[in-house]
Amino acid sequence: MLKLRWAFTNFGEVPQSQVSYVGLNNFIRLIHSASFMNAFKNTLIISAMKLVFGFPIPIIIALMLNEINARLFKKTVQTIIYFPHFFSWVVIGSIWFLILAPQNSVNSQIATLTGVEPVYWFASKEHIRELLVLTDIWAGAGYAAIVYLAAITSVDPTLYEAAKVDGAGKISQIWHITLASIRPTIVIMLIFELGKILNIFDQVLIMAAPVVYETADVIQTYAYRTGISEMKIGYGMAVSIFKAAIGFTLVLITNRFARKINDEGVF
Amino acid sequence: MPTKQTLEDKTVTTLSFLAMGLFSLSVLLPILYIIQLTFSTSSDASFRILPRGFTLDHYKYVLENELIQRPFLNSLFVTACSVVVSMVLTIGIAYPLSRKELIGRKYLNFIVVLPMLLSLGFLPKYLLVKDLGMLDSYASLIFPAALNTFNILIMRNFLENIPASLVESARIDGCSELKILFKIVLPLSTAALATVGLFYMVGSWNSYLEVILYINEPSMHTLQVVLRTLVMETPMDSSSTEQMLLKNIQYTTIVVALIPIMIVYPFLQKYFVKGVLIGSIKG
Repeated sequence: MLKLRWAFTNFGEVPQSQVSYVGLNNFIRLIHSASFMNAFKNTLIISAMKLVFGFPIPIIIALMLNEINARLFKKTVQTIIYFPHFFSWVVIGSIWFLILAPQNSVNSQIATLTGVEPVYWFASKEHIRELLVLTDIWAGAGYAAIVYLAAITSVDPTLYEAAKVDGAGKISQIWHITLASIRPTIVIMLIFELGKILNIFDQVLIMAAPVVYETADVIQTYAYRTGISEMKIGYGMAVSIFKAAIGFTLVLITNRFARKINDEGVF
Repeated sequence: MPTKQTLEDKTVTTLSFLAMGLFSLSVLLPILYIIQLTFSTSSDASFRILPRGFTLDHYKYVLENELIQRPFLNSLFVTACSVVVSMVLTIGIAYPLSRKELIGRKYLNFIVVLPMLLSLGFLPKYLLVKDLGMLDSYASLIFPAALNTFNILIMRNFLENIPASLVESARIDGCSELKILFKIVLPLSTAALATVGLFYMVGSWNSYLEVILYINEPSMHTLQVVLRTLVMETPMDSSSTEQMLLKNIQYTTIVVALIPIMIVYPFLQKYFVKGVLIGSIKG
């Protein structure tokens, strides 16, 4: 923890003997650095995309699995969709890298089938973010549904009976009973997700090549480059502190917000 | 009371079937496609899920290849050591925290959970490892990542469910504390031990960042690092026969990196649902 003080020094940028305190200089440089601001912006955009598209999908998966009564089918689906959660990002990245490579015949097969020009996702500034979000969903959405599935099983079955007697259809049952009952779980998971948003790292480090850094570089990869590759330890430490401070604030804000929602009830 | 299935109900069920079927296929097909290519003798890489022809040559080639064999063994070694170290440390922390008589339990619990709330990232850890002189050693891959808050919580919550009276009565019978742990508590916790052990195993096998952070020496690199370089940083402009060979090596190395995961997945699946729940409820 004492190392944190290095965030206020020029450690790593001058010879060891000349290291001195530079006050808030590192933080000021940070805010004025175009590449840091770019990484910050990308982090927020990629996180927002993951939240908007990635967050509801596990909930939908859980709701759908709950509607399926065929045990064998359900079990098979679960076995398959939980599986890629245990793959490393290297393996996930490699699988999709090879399938989506321009020379790969599957890629051109898909292109002729759909009539859409194939995109080289991994080298495309415009598409790398979508790729990051999609592979994240591909690998993690199934596993993330477990929590919601468990929450659904604890919903009181008599509620559904009563709703049926009152003539409620499936959709209104799902909306008014299932979703309403698992709302606390959804809110808790949302807080977890928000707490993690600035931590996007491994996936980008592994899957994004320098050609796409303009749109894919995130705070952590930026900290990695400056702190480890260029050995500007003091500056890198300032990046880390900046990240931790914002992350912690986000958690506190959402926590307060969530308490409000859970008390007053939005549904 | 039997109720009639309305059109709406049927639509919802059918849609669910379709959507879940499609999602499963989208997960399964890319994996099967890659796997069949590793057995295929044909150079045609168009989409299919069964290999054209059958050969084990690619595996033989990959596993005998210096560039992959050494990292593969490194990965196995680091993973094996990590699991042992992690389990010893995790039990050592989780067991005391699970016992009500521990003094200052609340504060110790808070300290254990703190890294989950406030994370400064990899840089402070890197500096610590560097100052300890652990760079370029297998120890740097085993110890810094040996504890995982989530796994400690799973273990602690499981151990909390072991009735205190059981421990009490053993103590009255003159059982030593260590004997209580090894003869009573741990044999009752095999499910939790398996879950946490498998989580650590998968985590260590899959780790990438630690290796590129702490290890400069190429001979100590693990399979994940080599796989990434092999697939994502190897230019593809050589002659077509060489390209074929390279492609086959890439596909096969991916599957080799997946084999341990495939082996433990059936066991994992037995336990992880419970693990995820314990962790998320009390996390």
